[in-house]
Amino acid sequence: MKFFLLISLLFSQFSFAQEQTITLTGSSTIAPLAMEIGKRFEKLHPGIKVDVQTGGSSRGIKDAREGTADIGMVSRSLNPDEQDLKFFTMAKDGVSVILHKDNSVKVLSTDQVIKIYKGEIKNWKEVGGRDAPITVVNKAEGRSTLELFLHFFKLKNSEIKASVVIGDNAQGIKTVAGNPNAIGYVSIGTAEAAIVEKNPIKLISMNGIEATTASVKNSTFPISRVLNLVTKTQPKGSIKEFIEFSVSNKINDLIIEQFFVPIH
Amino acid sequence: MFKTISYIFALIGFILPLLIIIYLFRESHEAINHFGIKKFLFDPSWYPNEGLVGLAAQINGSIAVAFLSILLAVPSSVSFVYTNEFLLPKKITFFNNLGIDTFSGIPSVIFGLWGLVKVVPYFAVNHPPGTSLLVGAIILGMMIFPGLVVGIRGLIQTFNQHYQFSSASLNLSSYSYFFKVFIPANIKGLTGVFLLQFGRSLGETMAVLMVTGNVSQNPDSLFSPIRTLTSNIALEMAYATGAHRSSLFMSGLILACVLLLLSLLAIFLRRDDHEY
Repeated sequence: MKFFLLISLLFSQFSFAQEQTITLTGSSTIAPLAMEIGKRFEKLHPGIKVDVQTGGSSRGIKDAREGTADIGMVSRSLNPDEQDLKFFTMAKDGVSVILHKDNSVKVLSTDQVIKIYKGEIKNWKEVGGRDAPITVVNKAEGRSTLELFLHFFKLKNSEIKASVVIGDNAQGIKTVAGNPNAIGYVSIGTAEAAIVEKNPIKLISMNGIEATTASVKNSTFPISRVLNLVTKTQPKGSIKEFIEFSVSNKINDLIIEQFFVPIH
Repeated sequence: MFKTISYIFALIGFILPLLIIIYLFRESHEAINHFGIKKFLFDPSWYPNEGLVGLAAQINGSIAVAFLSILLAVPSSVSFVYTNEFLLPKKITFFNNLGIDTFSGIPSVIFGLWGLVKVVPYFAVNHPPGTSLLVGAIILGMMIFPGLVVGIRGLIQTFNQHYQFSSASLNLSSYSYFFKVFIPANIKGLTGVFLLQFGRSLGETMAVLMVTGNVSQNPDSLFSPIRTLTSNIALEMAYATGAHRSSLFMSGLILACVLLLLSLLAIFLRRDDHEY
């Protein structure tokens, strides 16, 4: 019977090891920021552990609603059928079209981006670049970056003729950085961070407005979104403290570190 | 005490896969009711948010990439084993075997990353975007290569114990011994080894996801991007809800059924070699 005693001992260790855990799940865009906020919050409040898991905005909504997580992370404004949830805006983010640094194309109109993604423009020379076939990088279904992109360009995913379908932002940047003829889209913060890390990519302006964190901050950049924390009910206790901490200007440095845009 | 625990673990071997299949059935139930099983198996369009959930392209993609990887890896592993067991001096054989055993322990994501940053750009020059059926098959071929070598090596070592001396006394060359005696006598066992590795190719996720481009379409050339059943799940499961999520479980269920059949076939084939 020693075996079973050992097992039960193990389990008891797991359940009593921490006094309290705040669980966040959702958008992979927000997760790195939430982890940093969590670390700082844990220092200020000993005995509370902040656990951050990714899985996309849809999972953030689902887990918050079902109570699987205390807080959901959602990198878009809430849909009409999600108004039952309480939301708290932490920061802003923009989605930008990215090209390889060696691509001679500097500007693309909304219409050109739509035609490229629909497969009506297949070669860079049609938009003033070199004579080379375009590699269209699209995102897998369910990602909020895809939703934001489709919504802005008024596209349906089935209309897109993709050459490559990718998962997260990092994979998108790697794919474009490795292919001089690729076009993709990622969040501006992630792209700016990637450029700092010397990835050979560049951001494309949209409607004459440069894709920078600054233009997202003053809400002029057209393809932008809000980063929200959502809860099922009005938060109480330590969860309330965590959310108030997250939407305060005490974490502006963390937001900027993650290349997002603070709202305060 | 030890016996009880052993029995429990022995039962896990068969209960766990059973529970997995039951769970997959339960989770994909909603999608089957909603769309009907025919749509999954024969419709090639996969846009779950628009109500199109055909998995035909992914089924074809999975089978094509796994089959191609076997086509690449089987001849190379057979010649590797032949050279290693019969032609090379024992000292080199030792290091070769050590290398193969180490090789088989490399995690798949490493193969995938290597494929993405080294192999894909190489193919992108002439066949953009480079992420393709062929690169997927090459990466998978490399991944199953050690498994194939170990499997074939195991067969030949057992076989040697019985037939090596009689062959030597007949003055058979190693070539004749390997190709005219060993392979015909072990054809079922070899097929079993190939099938198991085929199953591994079919089930591989991360490496394939990184190098095949993941566009859900029927492969029309070696250089066209494909999406496999496994990468479909890995790409979208985290973000899926409702019927979309249930449809992803359906791709898991199809995969599980295929793997189950393959394993049955492999076990069945392995059972009755050396009966002469």
